[in-house]
Amino acid sequence: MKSQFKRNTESLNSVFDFATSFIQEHQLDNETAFTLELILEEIFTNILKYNKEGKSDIGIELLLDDKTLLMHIIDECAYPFDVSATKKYDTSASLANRPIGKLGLHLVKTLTDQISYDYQAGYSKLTIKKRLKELHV
Amino acid sequence: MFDIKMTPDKVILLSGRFDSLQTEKAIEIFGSVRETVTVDFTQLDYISSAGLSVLLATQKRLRNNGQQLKLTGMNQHIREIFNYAGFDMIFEIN
Repeated sequence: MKSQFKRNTESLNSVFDFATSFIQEHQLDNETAFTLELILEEIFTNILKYNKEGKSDIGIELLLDDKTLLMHIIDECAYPFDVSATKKYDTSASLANRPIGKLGLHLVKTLTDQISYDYQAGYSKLTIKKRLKELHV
Repeated sequence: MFDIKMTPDKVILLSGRFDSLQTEKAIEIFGSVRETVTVDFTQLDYISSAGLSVLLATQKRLRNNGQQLKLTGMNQHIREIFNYAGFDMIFEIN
């Protein structure tokens, strides 16, 4: 399942609707649905926040391959930005030392099994893999 | 759909989905908190880092004055997100 989304915060509702269609089509359980929506929200909002120069719509493709959920997020990008290479979030830091923000990518990395990044001809492609415990409830 | 209400006995009730589209509404309520309150998650289905950041900013401000947010009623998925974020170390969660 593949779709394109306008690059604004309001498009997040369309991203959630898209995820819901995929979840219903494949009868995925609540835990997987929560994880999928969270990952898509964090990546989508991260793109809006850090790639303000981008003009293109943001492409999302969702696939189910055996027991692995595959997410491809494609965006026009003037320079490479590899999410998987971002600095580690310190979950043991005291309250005073916790930054506001930076949590989203930490959650994405924690909830997924593999993240790979490719940058070619002005487009970045993020591929996220999540192995599922079980496909159906 | 997201809703947030402060009850007369100073409990903040969250319901629905606390995502990036809802932070403005939440900041209105959390920004008005000046003393220790309980935040009831019983009717909340979903939270992302946007929601977590609102809670974190509020907790930082309150703790500077010896007050805090106390969290209760989380479902299993939300509780896991709090654990992954290490928020179980900086919030009292019942």
